[in-house]
Amino acid sequence: MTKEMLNEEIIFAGFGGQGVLSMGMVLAYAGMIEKREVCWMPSYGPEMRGGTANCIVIVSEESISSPIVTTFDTAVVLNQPSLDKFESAVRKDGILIYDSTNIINPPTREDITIVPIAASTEAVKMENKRIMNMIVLGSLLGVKPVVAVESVIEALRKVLPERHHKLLPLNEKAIRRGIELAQADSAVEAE
Amino acid sequence: MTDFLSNVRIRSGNQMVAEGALRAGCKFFAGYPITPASGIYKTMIDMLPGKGGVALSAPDEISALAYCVGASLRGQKAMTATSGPGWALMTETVQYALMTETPVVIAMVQRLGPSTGGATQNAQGDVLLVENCTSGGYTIPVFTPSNPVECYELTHLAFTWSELLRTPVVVMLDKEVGMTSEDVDYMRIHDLTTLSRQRIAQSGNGSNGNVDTYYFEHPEDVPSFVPVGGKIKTTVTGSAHNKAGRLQKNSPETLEVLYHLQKKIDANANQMELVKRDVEDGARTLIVSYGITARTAREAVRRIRKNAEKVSWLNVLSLFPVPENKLRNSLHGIERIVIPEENFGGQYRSVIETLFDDQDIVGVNKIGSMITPDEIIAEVV
Repeated sequence: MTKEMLNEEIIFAGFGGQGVLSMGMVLAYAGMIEKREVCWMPSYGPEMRGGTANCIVIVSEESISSPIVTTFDTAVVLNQPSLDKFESAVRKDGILIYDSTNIINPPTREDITIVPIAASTEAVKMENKRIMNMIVLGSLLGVKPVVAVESVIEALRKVLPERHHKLLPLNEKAIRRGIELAQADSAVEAE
Repeated sequence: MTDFLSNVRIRSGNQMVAEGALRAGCKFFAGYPITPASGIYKTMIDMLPGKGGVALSAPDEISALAYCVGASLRGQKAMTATSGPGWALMTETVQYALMTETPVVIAMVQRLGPSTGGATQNAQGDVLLVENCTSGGYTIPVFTPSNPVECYELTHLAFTWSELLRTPVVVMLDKEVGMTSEDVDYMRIHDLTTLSRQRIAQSGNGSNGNVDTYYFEHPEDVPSFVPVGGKIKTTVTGSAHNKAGRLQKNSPETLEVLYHLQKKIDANANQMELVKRDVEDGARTLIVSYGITARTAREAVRRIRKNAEKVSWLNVLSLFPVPENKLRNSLHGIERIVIPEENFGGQYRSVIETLFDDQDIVGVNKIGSMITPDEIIAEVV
């Protein structure tokens, strides 16, 4: 295998309020901690809540020329509209991770790796629905370790305001649970 | 790792505009929140009071800029931030600042218009609206950063020129430049020298021992500043006036003042020219870009050269006055100039077209979604 320069282009998409933008920011921070070039570009509608939101995150070993990307190595989607919109934007051999809890029409492509994670259900089991985004972020790391888990945990410490630092252990648990779920899912697929 | 992290942070363009303003010695900010410029407002409200300044939440954009002009007339460096709809309300006061020779910096983060338009959509449709906002067609200096570090440096530079020329200066971003966050290595930001307006220490340049507020010897000179409300009496007016600041119709001296408002900018236009130039010998196409499309253009250039083809590129950082010399010096062997802009008419292209006859000048234009590198590449020969 030839060693390629790391240049990972990821879109995170879902409803406003699901923590889409913050999970992208946590990943960008983790990339920065690992001395990568990073870029985080938010995009959302004018609605105060309930609209769709997404962010593009680029983690690269090279200086990033354009934050504007139209196809992605990986898509992480948390609702049906985003799945409908971004399934086709994943590059061939890329990865699509989605929260399967609220999806009626699952993805159908066969030239990409599809990873359904019942993240919302899992978050309820962990007694905090808002931890869902960290479960999904963990799943991403489980499938494709763009950055080390330790960097993500350090990033959380930076992104979360200090008054919320009591939530750090729960977030870490959610990330680790996400990794487990993703790896269990891949194991099933391999069988 | 700790050392590295103390120098490198993730910052948005908006945050870096605010930090650049603080670095330039901005002591007053008034604003009215508006997407996509609110990041500047928030950062200034968070940080400025801790630096000994005043940050105000104004009742609307008209008041916001008027407050800034007032603060500047008292001698403080001042800035506001807005987007297209807010700019529409500010144009009267932009002209007042220009006429009264009041330094002020306006950070203008474009979104999709017209009217309230698309608050969260990118656009570069306010280029001519900003530049041509004055009755009389005076040059408003406009700087256009394309990444967070440039946001910092060009905001600092906007303060410098605003102070030195005593005129309003605009830092113009677009939504993507303002709201995209990237890693910023503070050690790599250039050393910046902060300059301030020339002040009059004591009375005496005018008649009766008073100060002539707008006194200059040559029309391109910039009058020295006297704060309003200080020990020296000074008169400030937005109406046509002589050098003493007294209302006059079209006396020769009043007309001289009106010419002077433009001549002081023209005389410094060469020095204000700022571009990032990436010229390749043998290239026949030059891409000219600014703001977020400079980032797309950079990617287009990278891909073209990866294919062993030649192309030259100019990232314009000082949009106005038009950096004519630097453009002209990049045209050796160039047959075609491609100008990508996220507006449908090709606003900056319409300005460039009037300057050069020997090249085909074409645009790549689009609204509502971002121009892609491939769309630029398709126009390059």
